[in-house]
Amino acid sequence: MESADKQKQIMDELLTDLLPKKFGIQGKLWVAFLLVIIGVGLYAYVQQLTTGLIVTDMRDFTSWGIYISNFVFFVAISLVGSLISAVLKLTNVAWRTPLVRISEIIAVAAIAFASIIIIVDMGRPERFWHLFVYGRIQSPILWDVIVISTYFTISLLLLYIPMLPDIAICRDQLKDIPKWKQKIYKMLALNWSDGHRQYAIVNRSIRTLAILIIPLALSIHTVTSWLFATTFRAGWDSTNFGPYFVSGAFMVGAASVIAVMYVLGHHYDLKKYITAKHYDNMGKLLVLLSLIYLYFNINEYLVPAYKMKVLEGEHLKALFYGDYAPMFWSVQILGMVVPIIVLLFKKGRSPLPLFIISIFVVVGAWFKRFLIVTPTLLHPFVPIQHVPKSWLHYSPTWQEWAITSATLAGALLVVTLFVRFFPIIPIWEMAEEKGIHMTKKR
Amino acid sequence: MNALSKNSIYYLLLFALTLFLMFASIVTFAQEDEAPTPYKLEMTFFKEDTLNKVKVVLSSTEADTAKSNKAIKNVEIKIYAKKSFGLLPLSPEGTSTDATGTVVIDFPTDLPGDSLGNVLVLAKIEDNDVLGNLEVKKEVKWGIPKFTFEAFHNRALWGTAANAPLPLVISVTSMIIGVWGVIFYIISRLFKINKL
Repeated sequence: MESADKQKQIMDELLTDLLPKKFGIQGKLWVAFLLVIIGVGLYAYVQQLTTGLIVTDMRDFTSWGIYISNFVFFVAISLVGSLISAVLKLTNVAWRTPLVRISEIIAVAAIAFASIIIIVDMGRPERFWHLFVYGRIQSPILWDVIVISTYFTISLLLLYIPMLPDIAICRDQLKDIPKWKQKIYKMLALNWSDGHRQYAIVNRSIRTLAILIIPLALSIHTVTSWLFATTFRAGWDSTNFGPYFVSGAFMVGAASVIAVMYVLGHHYDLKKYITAKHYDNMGKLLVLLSLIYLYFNINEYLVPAYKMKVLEGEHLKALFYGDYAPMFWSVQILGMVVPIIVLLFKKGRSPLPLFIISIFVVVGAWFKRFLIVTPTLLHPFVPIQHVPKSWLHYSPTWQEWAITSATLAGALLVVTLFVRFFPIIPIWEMAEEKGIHMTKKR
Repeated sequence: MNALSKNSIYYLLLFALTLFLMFASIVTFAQEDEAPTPYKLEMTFFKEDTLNKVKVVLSSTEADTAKSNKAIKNVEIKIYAKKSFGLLPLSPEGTSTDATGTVVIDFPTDLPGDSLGNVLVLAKIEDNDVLGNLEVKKEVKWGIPKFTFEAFHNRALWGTAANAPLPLVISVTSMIIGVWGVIFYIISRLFKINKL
């Protein structure tokens, strides 16, 4: 055990490094930039509310556009919470500690905006509550509503409960802050006093939630895949869809954590806590998840392509060498194959290349969801003759782009503001890792 | 005396002409409605061996005894079954009355009827130069009773919210109760932390 002086020195260092800091000019510009995007999105949404969904390019065939692609993307990203907080915890991966809170806040922000974008996609959003009152339990849509709200609640608890000791540290250490902030810290800290019984409850709760969230994480994205796979539509009618979605979600989730940890690590100078080892390990994890996703992609495209059933064939031709070919091959090559090749090498897993690759994966994953949702809708079962031309193509309007961008900016703003007010790297867990006992005998 | 102006005379004539046309049309249509047609179609159903047959007889109903009930031959008669929307031809193209003014056709064995198996059969003479239009319709219980999909009223995946399959309701409800039970337990532990 460290001596008392040494322990105090370590603790002081942790507090200096990890307590939330005021935004500098970069931080303020970043928040202003996000707020502008959100403002434009809100303006577009007001237009959509007053005029109706006609302001979008969604018509009878393409009734799900980038809103739903964005929804699937957000749900996918949110799975990372369970990956880092639960899977790595239960497998006793020690290096996960500085990344847990980053992954949980990404999960919470993503799942919150997944719910918001669903409401945005509704022509009559004021009837959202009808889902709960008139919903049919036989419908996968209702299952999705149930698992998303459950997953959101558990993710919120998995973010909040392990943060209690750190909120108490903020309450006790941050003295030169406005009173309202002090009050909020005090309220959120739940009279935390580092008592061993309090720690016992926290540890037991985290363990229980970690076990509970794994089947839920699998359900949330499997059920989202069933929204597609329970239909007969070409490109969706697949028994492979659940694991295909889940593996893709873990991959983009890991990439999003890498991107955020790189930005935060550099901006707040957290190199002591997020080290080259973390990048290397996350790189290895990402390449493993990418290989699994590649395997499911081969299944998803090769098997139907071998059979080339009429409608399935039309859909695949549109992807392989038709209208969607440039996007499809960019996504598959830049968002999956290139990351696998680069990350197999140790140099590829060093911070900057890994960060660039993670951006490729995240952007690729967004467009991949677009490719899953839209081209299928353009190949309906009903005869395609004599329909208005506007039904045959889908190119999102500026309002759709603005609203979608606003939700992405909103999720980033939630992460940004969280970092402003709470320690993004768990102080108490890092202290315990460094041999400091936080528990008091009470 | 004030002579009527040219315009007034013109309007007066127009008014009189309109009245006349209205009167004439009423009289004409009323006459057409009321005028009894001197021909009649009679439809009967019978069985021959195992086959169901429809028999239609065309005859004259004129008072003249020589013509009365006299069969009329070589007149095309079309026999239909009433569908939900429109008519289903049962008689082959060009089916005409024989020397006795009769047409006999087979009634199909696979025709759907209403829930009791009733089918409305129609025999029509359409746009005949001499006879004009003539029609007779009659119901017969030779159809296959309409299939009512009982499953809609039972518990099924495609049923209403209240008719969800019980295994689904039980499994979903138990999962929700189980998971949310744990969530509420953990939230209750937060209150405990607050008190410690």
